[in-house]
Amino acid sequence: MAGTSKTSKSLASCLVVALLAPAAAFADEGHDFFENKIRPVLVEHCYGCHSAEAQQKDKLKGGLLLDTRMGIREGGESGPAVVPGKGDESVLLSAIRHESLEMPPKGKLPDEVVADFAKWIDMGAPDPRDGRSLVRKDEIDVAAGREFWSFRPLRSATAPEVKSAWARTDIDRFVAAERDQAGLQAAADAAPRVLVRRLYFDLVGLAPTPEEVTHFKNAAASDRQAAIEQLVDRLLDSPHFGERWGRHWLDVARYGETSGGTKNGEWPDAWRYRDYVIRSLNQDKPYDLFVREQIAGDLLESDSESLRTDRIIATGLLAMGANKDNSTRMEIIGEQLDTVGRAVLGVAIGCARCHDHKFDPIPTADFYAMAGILQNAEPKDQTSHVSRCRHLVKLDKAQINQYKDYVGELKKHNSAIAKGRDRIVEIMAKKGLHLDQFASLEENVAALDGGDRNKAEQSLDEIRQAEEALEELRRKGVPQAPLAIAVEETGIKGKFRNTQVHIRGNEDVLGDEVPRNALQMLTPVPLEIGEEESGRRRLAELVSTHPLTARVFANRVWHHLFGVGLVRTVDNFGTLGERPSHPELLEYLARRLVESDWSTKSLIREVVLSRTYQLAADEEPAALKIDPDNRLLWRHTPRRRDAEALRDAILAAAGTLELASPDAWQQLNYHGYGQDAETVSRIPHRAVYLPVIRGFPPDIFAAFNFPPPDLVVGRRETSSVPTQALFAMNSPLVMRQSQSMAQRLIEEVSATDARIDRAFQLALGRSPTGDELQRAAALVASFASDFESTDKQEAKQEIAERQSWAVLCQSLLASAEFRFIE
Amino acid sequence: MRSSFANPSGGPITRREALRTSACGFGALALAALTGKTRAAGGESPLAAKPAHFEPKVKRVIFLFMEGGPSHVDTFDYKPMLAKYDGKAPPYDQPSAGSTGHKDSVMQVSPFKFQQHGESGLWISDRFPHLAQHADDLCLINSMHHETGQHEQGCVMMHTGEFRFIRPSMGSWIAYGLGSESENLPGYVVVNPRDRNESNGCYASAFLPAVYDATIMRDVGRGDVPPIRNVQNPLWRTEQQRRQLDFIQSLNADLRQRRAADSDVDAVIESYERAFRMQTAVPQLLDLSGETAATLESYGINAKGQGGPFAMQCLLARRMAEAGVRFIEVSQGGWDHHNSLVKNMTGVAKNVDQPIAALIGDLKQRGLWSDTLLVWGGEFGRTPAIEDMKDKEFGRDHNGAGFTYWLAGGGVKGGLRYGATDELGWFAADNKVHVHDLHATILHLLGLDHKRLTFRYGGRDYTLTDVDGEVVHDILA
Repeated sequence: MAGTSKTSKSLASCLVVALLAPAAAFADEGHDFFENKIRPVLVEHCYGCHSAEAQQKDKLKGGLLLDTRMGIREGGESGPAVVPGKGDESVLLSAIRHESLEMPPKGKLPDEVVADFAKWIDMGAPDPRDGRSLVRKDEIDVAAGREFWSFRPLRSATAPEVKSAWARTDIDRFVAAERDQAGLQAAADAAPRVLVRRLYFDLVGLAPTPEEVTHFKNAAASDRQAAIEQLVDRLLDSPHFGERWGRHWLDVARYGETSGGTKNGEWPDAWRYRDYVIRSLNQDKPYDLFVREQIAGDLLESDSESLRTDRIIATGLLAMGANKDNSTRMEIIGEQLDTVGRAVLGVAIGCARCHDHKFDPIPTADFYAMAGILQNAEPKDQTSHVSRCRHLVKLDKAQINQYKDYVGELKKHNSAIAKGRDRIVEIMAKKGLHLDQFASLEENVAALDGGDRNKAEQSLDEIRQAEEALEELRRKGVPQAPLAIAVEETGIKGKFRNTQVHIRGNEDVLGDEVPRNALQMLTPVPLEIGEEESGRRRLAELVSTHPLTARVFANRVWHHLFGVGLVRTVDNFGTLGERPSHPELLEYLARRLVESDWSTKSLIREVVLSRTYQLAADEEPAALKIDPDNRLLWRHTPRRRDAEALRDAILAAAGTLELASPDAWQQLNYHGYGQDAETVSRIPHRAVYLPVIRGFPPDIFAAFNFPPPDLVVGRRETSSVPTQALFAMNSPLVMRQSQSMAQRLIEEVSATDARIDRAFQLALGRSPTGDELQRAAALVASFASDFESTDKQEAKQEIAERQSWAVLCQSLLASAEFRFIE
Repeated sequence: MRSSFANPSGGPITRREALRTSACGFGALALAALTGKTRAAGGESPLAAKPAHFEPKVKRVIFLFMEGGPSHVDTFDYKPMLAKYDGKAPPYDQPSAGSTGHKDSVMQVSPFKFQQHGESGLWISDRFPHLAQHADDLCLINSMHHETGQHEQGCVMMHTGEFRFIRPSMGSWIAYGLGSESENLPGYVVVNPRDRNESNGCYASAFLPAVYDATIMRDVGRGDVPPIRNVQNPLWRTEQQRRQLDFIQSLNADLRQRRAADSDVDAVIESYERAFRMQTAVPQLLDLSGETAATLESYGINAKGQGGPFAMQCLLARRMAEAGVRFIEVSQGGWDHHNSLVKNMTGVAKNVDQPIAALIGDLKQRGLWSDTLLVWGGEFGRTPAIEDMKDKEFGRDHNGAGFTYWLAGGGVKGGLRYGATDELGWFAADNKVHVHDLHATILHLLGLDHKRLTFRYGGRDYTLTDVDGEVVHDILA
């Protein structure tokens, strides 16, 4: 708004300069006076009843429009509101003085404001407002709006010529051009040891083993670029690629396994969508198809049963939203549209549910045009009840019930185990004993005696029974009842309905019916939606190939590889979003994406093979001064590992990470662990497979900024707070994994120095410095001597050795270096 | 080189400061030794106490956040004229911004009885019998307003001064401006927040350095779940853990040498020291065994230390205030009375009434009253008109166009009713106080000039109050 008025002001000033040069200075001053003193008062106190908007809402009073120069001078039923230079003839003035009418009705304006009006009229009522009302919200100029940089068709962008020999690829040339202009020097190329960690982290979310580091270093020594290419191709082909990049997508798809809200109902089958996402990334499914399937997969022609099933599961994107209790249909649709908007298009469409979008060219009617399409697709999960999920095969009631019972049993036995364990912990706590995380429960119980022991044994029995029951269930196998959290087209042929504008989002106040269509912002040519279709498929086609879609996704890829997008507001490419730091480069990347048939892997490959990506993270004081945020990419910005990568790296160092994906029984069973943090912390599979129970994130997720699964989050927070330190120092997970890592070290290496070296290699991918070696040895020795002074038994010595080394292992896992990737 | 416990203001060290610094013992010494070198080059620790811009009136804030939007006309904004308009259409158009009124809805008189209390004669609804006894301590601001009637936006607005963009939380700004008074606890603690608010960024430092994020305590008052997870080590004695931590920090210090410009490494180092001290301080904070039966009872907590969640939060707030936490937020949800307002507000008011009154009494008794500021309010108020929920009892809808906050404690005039909504309570009308004004005033009481408390981000200086905000001098004592 401020922008608009400014433009018209300067435009008016130009005219004045041209026609009446000597008066120009005065006119400008007058307009400033109007803008500062008059317009705000009119907007706040008068437009409610005296504007085009009021007229449109049938609220216009006295036939008076005050929102244009013409209106204010012509006046209404009581005559001209303002007569320039003639205060006594201006009804507006007498009204606000309460001499004629008493305006505004809600109370007299302060005297100084009244005086301002008098002064303004005396000045000749300078008024820059042209005919068209500036407050009329309904006058969104969509055609003009489409000219916004991110909404425009993709341009071809050619890499600029650069003088320096530094650039290796087109990406480098775009970056170098900007950087050279700012007088910045690129940092050195990253050392192989650093680069291999970076690539593993970025492409598969894992840390390389010491052997993999060595292998890469050797290969890079003979031919660096070939070694990098080989590694990149291997990682892109790895099944772990999808686990890493699929999780990125799940962040924006707000993936969860419960319904949220106070009911937080179970969705034991949500994992099918998660696995669909992982699978799609691993297959390098063209991104446009990936999007199309998630919006309208159930409506696409599929030539096989498995493809058909897959595409129904894909529509989980529309069904995965968290439910508020008693969500209305339009609230659900609003959430669906907002998710598609933010995740795919980078536009906050949801704003337009209650009012015309304040910043982007989305009239409310456009929102309801899209809402009408989705209105015909019912999310089948909304009561979060197994039987309401969408069936992927034909199921009868008995089958469904059998399945429900099975899921219920899993949950029951898992809770029994958790309860039994808690009781044992409690009994021990009363004796001042802590549960030894590394020892079995039996061993822990053995430390008790008398009645305590009996009570604990009883709990142990209950746990064993539950475990046996679970084992029995596993043997029986998961009943064949595939269900999905998905949508189903419910419109009957020929009866696809439109919806009406909900005025201010209110379900009860309905306005005009709006024909189903896409946002006008997205296309100058409306979709041709027949009566026999909802239009969802056509919408999916439009959205999936839109220039915004390409730009937003290319930027997401960049964001995940550099920690910062070229557009830092990764979920907002609208007016309120940031402009790209390298507009041409973003254009280039988006085009490359489209030209490669929307291949995610090709795009990632091109980026990570650029020299820009491979820069060292070294700090350069001079460059830091000019560009502290590294927007011009003169180095690689170190990043904190996210929750999943951190957790997987801890398990990997300890040698306990299960790299295979969980089988169907495990999937269901893990979901059955539910909110039991302790059991969840014992799951050996990769973090992407941990259950996402809304409101109850696993410990490590809560501490390390795992995004709330209710929201589209394209950019995670990376704070460093004491709760993370507490997690690293005290959590059962880290304590236990440190002991496992210690055990591993003891088994693998016997000499102290070599063992320390191995520990550093496993955790940090490097050898310790001489100084570090000494300090580490001293640490282990000091803890070992603590034990010596207290205990001499042989069995205990074994524990003592493990514990002392666990202290070192834990320290490495807790270090800042472990947390950050350079 | 300045050690972490040098008195930042340069004045004499008070007894309290001396106690605090001595209590941090080995940890602080080790930290100073580790980071001293880089600190000399890079400046103070980000959490060290910093001098205010001018003499502060209060040292800390307790924000009693009433989530859902308490109806002002049924609590602290007495509107006798509503009786006259009861059941009638409002005599004016409903506000277009910040309110979600319903077409054709009629005005609704408060079902509760208002009475004057204290020497000041403040009008307070009969749902707050305990708080009413402290009427002369309360500084009511009846003319609060902002631009949104959406919960999430309103919450973010009240916490960050902006709902359209991600901005730092008020608590983060204050922690950034003043550092932490306590060496053992975080400077900014939020108790039992709604997940939604956390994910909305109500408590986040946004572009401020990450160390100014709120530390969240969960499940306070909900049984024996530890509110900060992993706050105790199951194996090692404190001395042993210190030995381990010294090794961790030595690794971190090495990294810090290589990454001098990276505030993230600083934040990690700092987080470990604070976490280490928290391990002792948090159990102490939660150990109510030192509280007298009379104190517990005043909050409505029984001798076993059990009470309603909000009562536990208020007692915890006092204990945190004592321990030097700079910005404490406790919250009570359930104020979103779209329907059945009589029943629901009676319940939720009962939850907060006695504990808040007890908190006021407790702070006074311990000499903390004059340097603590209490802030009470929600994300907005409610419409004085009825929201008809068909077959349910009446309720009211959201209203950001006019609502009430109250302040109490050091630096503000007690027994004052400042500003006013229109005679029916829909719009802020006289002496309007915008959220920015409230924020400016809170900062002012803490000795911070809201225009000078800036942080440069993306090429421009940001403040909590954007380009607006005036200190409400009329309410200052």
